[in-house]
Amino acid sequence: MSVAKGFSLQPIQWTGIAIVIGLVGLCAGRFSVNPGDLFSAIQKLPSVLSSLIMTGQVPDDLTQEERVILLIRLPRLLTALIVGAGLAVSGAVYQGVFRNPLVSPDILGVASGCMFGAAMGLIMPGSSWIMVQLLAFVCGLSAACAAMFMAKRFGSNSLLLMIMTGIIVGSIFGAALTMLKALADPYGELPAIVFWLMGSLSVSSWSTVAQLIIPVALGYGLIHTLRYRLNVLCLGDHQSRSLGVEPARLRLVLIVISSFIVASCVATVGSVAWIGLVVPHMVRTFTGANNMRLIPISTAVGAMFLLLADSVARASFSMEIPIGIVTSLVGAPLFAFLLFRFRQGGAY
Amino acid sequence: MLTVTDISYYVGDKCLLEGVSFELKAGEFLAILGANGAGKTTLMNCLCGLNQPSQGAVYLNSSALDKMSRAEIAQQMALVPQQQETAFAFTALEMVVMGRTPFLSTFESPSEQDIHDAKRVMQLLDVGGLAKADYNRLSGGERQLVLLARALFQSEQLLLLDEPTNHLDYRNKFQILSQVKRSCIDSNTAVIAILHDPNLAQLYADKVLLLEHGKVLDYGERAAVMTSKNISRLYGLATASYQVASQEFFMPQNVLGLSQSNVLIITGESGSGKTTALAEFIELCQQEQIPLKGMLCPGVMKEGRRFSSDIVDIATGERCLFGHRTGVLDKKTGTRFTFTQEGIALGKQALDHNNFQQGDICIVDEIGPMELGGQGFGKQIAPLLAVANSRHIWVVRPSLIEQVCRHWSLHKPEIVDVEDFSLPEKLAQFISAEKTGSRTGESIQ
Repeated sequence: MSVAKGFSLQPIQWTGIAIVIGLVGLCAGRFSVNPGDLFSAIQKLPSVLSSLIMTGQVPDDLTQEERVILLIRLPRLLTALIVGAGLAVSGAVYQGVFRNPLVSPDILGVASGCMFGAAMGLIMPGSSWIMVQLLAFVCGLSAACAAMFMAKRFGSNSLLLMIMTGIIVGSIFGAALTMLKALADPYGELPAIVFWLMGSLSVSSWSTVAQLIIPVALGYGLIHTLRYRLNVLCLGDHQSRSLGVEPARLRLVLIVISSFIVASCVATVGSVAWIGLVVPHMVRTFTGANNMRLIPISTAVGAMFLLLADSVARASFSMEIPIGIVTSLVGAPLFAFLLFRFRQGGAY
Repeated sequence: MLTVTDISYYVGDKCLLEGVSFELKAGEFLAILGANGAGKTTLMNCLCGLNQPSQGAVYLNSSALDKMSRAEIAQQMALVPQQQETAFAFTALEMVVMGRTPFLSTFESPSEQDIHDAKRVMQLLDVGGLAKADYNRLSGGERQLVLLARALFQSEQLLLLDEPTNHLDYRNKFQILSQVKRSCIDSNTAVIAILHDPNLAQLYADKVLLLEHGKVLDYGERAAVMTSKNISRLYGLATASYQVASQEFFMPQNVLGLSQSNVLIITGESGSGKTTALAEFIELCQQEQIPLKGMLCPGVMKEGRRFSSDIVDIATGERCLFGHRTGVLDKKTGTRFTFTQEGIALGKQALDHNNFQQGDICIVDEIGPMELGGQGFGKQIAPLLAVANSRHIWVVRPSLIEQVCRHWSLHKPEIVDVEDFSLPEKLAQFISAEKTGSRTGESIQ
């Protein structure tokens, strides 16, 4: 459906914006990099990737600048793009499914579950970074499943009930997380938990990119093909059924896919606030409510938003500030401005 | 097109629909009328497959609805829901295009051709100019037209309209239904519409189904079903019919000022002899061969209170036990009496509006709290008041007179105390008086 509101950019324009933001992301940072280094590093990217895939080793002939670009900044840039895209598309789907523009991807307690799982991984003796991410992912999905299972057991399919069970599950995991923090060693484990909870892309590597790209790309692909049905779901169960769409089944599929994406992202980089709530909101004010446009544009904007936020987090101060703080500091005023700007003609 | 055979719908032990049957052919407009809570929306939900009937079946083009997929049903049947805001601001065109959904596979989205076709349907309904407007910012009438356009874009075979004229102004009400009727005529579309205004059903419907507490009160061709007695019974409001340009319409009697002098209320405390006085009056009338109808409840008194009661059909003289005091408060009836099925059936027979003709005199002994609560013989009263030139003698205890007058919209009825020695004289005057001012139920040109 190419029925659209006034604001629109062509794919070529989106690509142009993405390249500019990407270049800024690669050049920004404490270690200065000039465009020449960037060009030569990009040329070596295929050989570095093939070497990493085939042997797991980094080629020896890289300069320091190329190492920074290819082994630190590029994977971090891609992680930021994937996580931003994943959180934004999940937020757009959750808002559509729950028919509420104030819903964030944490509505079913996914992020709370992830945070509890990660904290558990961090204080477990002999735990590795992989174990932290795995536990975060499993607990995040378990939280969403528990919320949906409880809503189903209560015998109603109402959205309100699912939101309530999400709050219940989120509270339980939140309490459990606080308990873990109380039990954690205040000199070693507690700071690790707190730093993880604030969210950071500093752990990004090519393996992070590899473990994120599959669930997020697969999830986005499914959501992209179902985005027209999401429009129908936005009209409510009664109208959905009268239009031939079984809402309960579609809702379940979309929630499971979105929760899977959110769990993957939060398990990898920690809690990143605001993107899932603000980006779809922001995009909706420009594009209208039609998910045929909202889903892809939210995904693109979410990706670029997190990349910009990460660039600011890395380059603004001598120490790296947690990404969650930057997204909140940038997202909240931007959101307030948009609400003010569109208060008389908003799309929600 | 649509055949409904004996469907019932229960939620737990509660029966919301019972034994509803009807048939609709292509091009026909069926109006469903009923008071609030009568089960109209439940019936509509059963018709479009949103509720599965507990008994009976719905057949759409000879296929049982419960054997069809949601998309198959939606391809043949379109619903126009009550217009309301959507959570997100889709444009009017986006709303209309969604009518194509049942014809698309799960991963498919509407094509440019679908958008073009949707625009054409909008233009047919004169809302083509609203294509890019936010649906939530449209007026009620415009929204309803957009939803109608979506339904027509979805299926021209069968339209279901759930209270389509709600919240619409005078002009939009007629505009929407005229468009629907045009579709019936031009495209042979079958239509089922829940309507609140009997006069709209009179104007547009071919068939009418009257629904009362989940049961069909009457169903058939419009002219046979739409009578002032039926409308009075359906809404519990005495209704008169009047004609405008050869079309019959309905209006509450009290609004037309027609119910001033056709009710006489005999009042008095319990045990004061109201029934006895009426029995004597009935005997006198029978001697003088003045026909009376209605019911009388002669009782046995003990310790100044009614202990048991018989019921008499005044027209036929049939008599049986009506009920007796149990001493235990029955929460359902709000009395300390238990009633016999036989007695209730005889009372309903005595007060059946189908047995009454123009000018009849009806006695009801008595109208109490049960009737005011819509129980007992409460539902029988309004259609009797709608009988043209009828006169009514009711027994009402003093404490309830004001409520009774308000409930049945009586305007200054004649009230006589049973201890008033002039009661026989007033009764005689009442039944013999020329009732020129009480043309209840008759047509007004």
